Parts: sequence; structure tokens; C-alpha cells
Amino acid sequence: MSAVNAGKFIEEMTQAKGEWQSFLEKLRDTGKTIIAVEHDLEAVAFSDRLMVLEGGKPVAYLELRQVAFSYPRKMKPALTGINLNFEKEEITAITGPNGCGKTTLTKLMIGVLQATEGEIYLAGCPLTDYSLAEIGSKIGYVFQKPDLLLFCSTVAEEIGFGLTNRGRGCNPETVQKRIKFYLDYFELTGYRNDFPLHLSQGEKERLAIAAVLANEPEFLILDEPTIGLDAYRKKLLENYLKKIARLGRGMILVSHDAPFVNRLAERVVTMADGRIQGCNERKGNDGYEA
Amino acid sequence: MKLDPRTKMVMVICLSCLALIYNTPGRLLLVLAITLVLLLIFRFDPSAVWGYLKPFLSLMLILFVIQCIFSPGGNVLLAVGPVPLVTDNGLLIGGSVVLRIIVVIAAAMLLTTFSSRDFILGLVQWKVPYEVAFMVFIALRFLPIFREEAINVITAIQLRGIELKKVPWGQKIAIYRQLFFPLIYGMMQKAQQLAVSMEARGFRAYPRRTYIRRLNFNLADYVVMLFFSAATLIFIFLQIT
Repeated sequence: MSAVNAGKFIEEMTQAKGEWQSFLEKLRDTGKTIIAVEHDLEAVAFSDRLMVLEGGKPVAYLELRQVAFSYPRKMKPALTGINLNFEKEEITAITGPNGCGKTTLTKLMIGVLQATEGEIYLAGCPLTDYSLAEIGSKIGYVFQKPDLLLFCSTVAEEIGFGLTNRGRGCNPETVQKRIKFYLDYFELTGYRNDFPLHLSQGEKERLAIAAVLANEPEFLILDEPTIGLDAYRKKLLENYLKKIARLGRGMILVSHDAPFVNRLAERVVTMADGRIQGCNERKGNDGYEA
Repeated sequence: MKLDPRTKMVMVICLSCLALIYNTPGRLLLVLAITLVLLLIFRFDPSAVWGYLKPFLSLMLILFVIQCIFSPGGNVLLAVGPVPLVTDNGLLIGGSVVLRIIVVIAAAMLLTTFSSRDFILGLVQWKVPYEVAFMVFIALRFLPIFREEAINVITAIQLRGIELKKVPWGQKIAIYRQLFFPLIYGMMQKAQQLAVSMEARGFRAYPRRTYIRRLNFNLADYVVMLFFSAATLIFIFLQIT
């Protein structure tokens, strides 16, 4: 094909793609559900839901391939040969003894740390292609130390911060409604105007979880969410997590709290010494299917 | 090379004095080169200095611009009407201020080539009261903690889905202003917790402190200390006269 013909061909193809997209958009406006099989990401950019297939199988929401990580100036790697898949609608627990790399693994998944080897994929794309904010808008992360998440002057501001400042921001009424809901649900209404770092450990934990949940992320990673919570608050958190799981939002729980993990998780990944030791499928857990 | 922490402290003081006394980029560059070589000798990666300089970049830029504009004299390079804006003298002075900051920060990195325990021990053996030595150490320790705290807050904001780079400047300033007080308050709270923790572990419970280890000077320490002190005094004298 000559250079002139190639140019004309590309022009015609681009025009055809534009027409195809506008046709699909018109069809969508009629309320029809469209399932499009497409290899061109640009062409499906306007789709509501994207399922990426590779080798005939859907790509996991979060995928770790041969991931390894070493902290600077440490001889021994913190993580080695991690291969894991996390589905969007699944609750997975990661357990293991102190220092086995659980928190490091979750920090790699949200891009706070960068893997020294291997690849991490989020919704089919390499994690390195996303900015921290893009990851944050997809994955809600609750740090093991809630203090790291709290930076506002009042409890109410803390819950509404993401809603107010993200993108064009939510409408003020919606923000106030959601703040009220989460303050009530996590029993923080009485502390509405308090300074977050003045709260007790359990209250800080509840606030950190509420602040992350208020953003309604697609997926959650909770690092030791039950630390400092009494039995009643643990039950409240459990009920809420079950509720959002029913809405199709998956999560990873890093926890030493065996009863809590057993009641919630469909799959338990056990780690030891920076490696995956086992993966126990617990499908059919009637704990949250009820 | 193994030197006593006190020798390294003397080296840092000498290099910082030279950085303050010199006001030409050429000489400051020479002091910076010596500092980087010393860092290499003490097995501190000189490229890591960049990481410590990053938080000061905006401050250095502001100081450079202010010095460029307000330093009088020299040939005018840029003028707005009759008002000279940038002169060659201003550029030299601006460059010197930036280099001075870099030298002081790089020289301070020498203090990280030994443990904090040795730092306190060194000062105490120089007859500095333990409380004062500990206070200096805590102040030094809090600087990286403050930096880390600021990084944590920025990370936490981004993890709430806020693309700080894309936020308009007005909103960005409002966000930072909103965060400033909690950040400072959080640090004060940490300092208070540290004070309580120290008291709880018997800090100043007894008038006399004892130490398992003692630092000892060897010949190399005396030679290096004498050389650095003498050289610094001579250079200062030459600069003044």
C-alpha cells in the first residue's frame, strides 16, 4: 500500500469508527443494553461496564503476577513470587503472622509502594498507568493506623472531604445527607465537630472506615479493621460490609480476627514469610448470603 | 573510614561555616564538591541528597527570585521600563543563596552516618547537659517525621480520589490551608505523647546518668578535626580580610 493510500485508508477507518460509535450511543439512548466485543479501548471508552478477556477468561479486577518487593537497604525481600487474583464481587481475607508482608502487599495494590518485580493489574490495566487518585477513586483503602487517614479539622469534614473535593464535587445536599448517614451508622454523631485525632482508637477506626466508605469505592481494602472495636461495633461493621458486598462491591480484609474473617470471607489467603502459603476457598458462606 | 561522631560534627560545623561565609557560586560549588566527596567516603549515597532537597525546592526558587530582583548593582539583563528586574549580580547572589542551602543540607547528611545514640553520647562527653543533647536530637528527629507526616496526608488525600495536580489553584490553596492546622496540631500531639512516654520511662528521674559505652578519639580523629578547624579558620580569615 502506498503512503497516499495508507493515509486515505486510516482516514476512512477513523470516519467509520466515529459513525459506529455515534450509532452505539444513539442505540444506548433508547435504553437498550449493548454487549460489544471490541479490542479497541478507545471505541469502548463510553461503555458503562468493561469486561476484559484474556485467553478466553475474564481478567480479574485486581491481579498480581509474580510480584516481589524489597524495602530499601534490607537484604531479605518482604514479598516474593506473589500470584493472586481478586474478583470485584468477592470478599477475600489475607491472614498470617505479624511481619509476614500482609500490609506491604496491600500497599502495593494501591500504588503506595511499587513492586520491585512482577506486575499488578487493576481492571485489566497495569497499576502503574493509574495515578494514586485514580486508584483511590476505585479502591477505598483503610490503613492499619487510622491516624494516617485523618487530616481534617472535624469528624464531619473528614467524612465529607472526598465528596466535596473530588472532581466537580457532589452537590452540598448529597454531601450533608451522606455525612449524616455515616455519622449515624458508625455512631459518631456526638463527635461531629470534634478534632479527629482527639478520638479514642476505636472511634478513629470507625471514622477512618466511614470516611473511606462515604466515597463509595468499587472495591475496598481494609487493613485490620476490627482493631480497637468492641463486639457491638464489630458487628455493626460486619453488617455494613455484608450489605455492600451484596451490592457487588468486593473487598480484601487483612485481619487477625479469625471469627470476623470466618463470618465474612469467601476466600482466605494465608501468608507466611513474604509468600502465599495457602488459599482456602469458602464459597457458599451463608454468612452474608442470607 | 571510621571516625568518632564528634569529629563528624566538627566537619559539619566547618562546612556550614564556610557555606555561610562564602558568597560566590564558584567557592560554594567547591565546598559542595568537598561535602559530596565526604559523603561518599562515609558511604552515604550522594544522590540521596536530592531526596532531602526536594521539599526545599520551592523555598529555594522563591529565595532565588527574590535575590535576583532585589540585589542591587551589576549589568542589567532584564528591565521593566526604567526599573531593572534582573542583573548579573542578582543572579550570582541568588545562585549563591541556593548553593548555600544545598551545602548546609548535604553537610547535615554527615550526621546521619552515625546512630542517634552516638550523637547524644558525643554531645554529653563534650559536657553538654543531657537534657539539652536529647532536646537537640529530638528536634533533628522531628524534621523527617514532619516531612513524613506531610507526605502521609498528601497520600491520604489522593487515596480519597482527589487528583491534586488537576485541582484548580484556588481550591488547592483552600485544601492546603484547611490541612495546615491539623498537621501542626498532630505534630504537637506526637511531641506531647513523646514527652509523656519519656517521663513514664524515668527520663531525668535520677540526677546522674551513666553509660555503658564511651566514645574515644583516635589519632585520625585528632588529625581530621585539627585540619578542618584550622582550614576553616584560615579560609574565614582570608575571606574577611
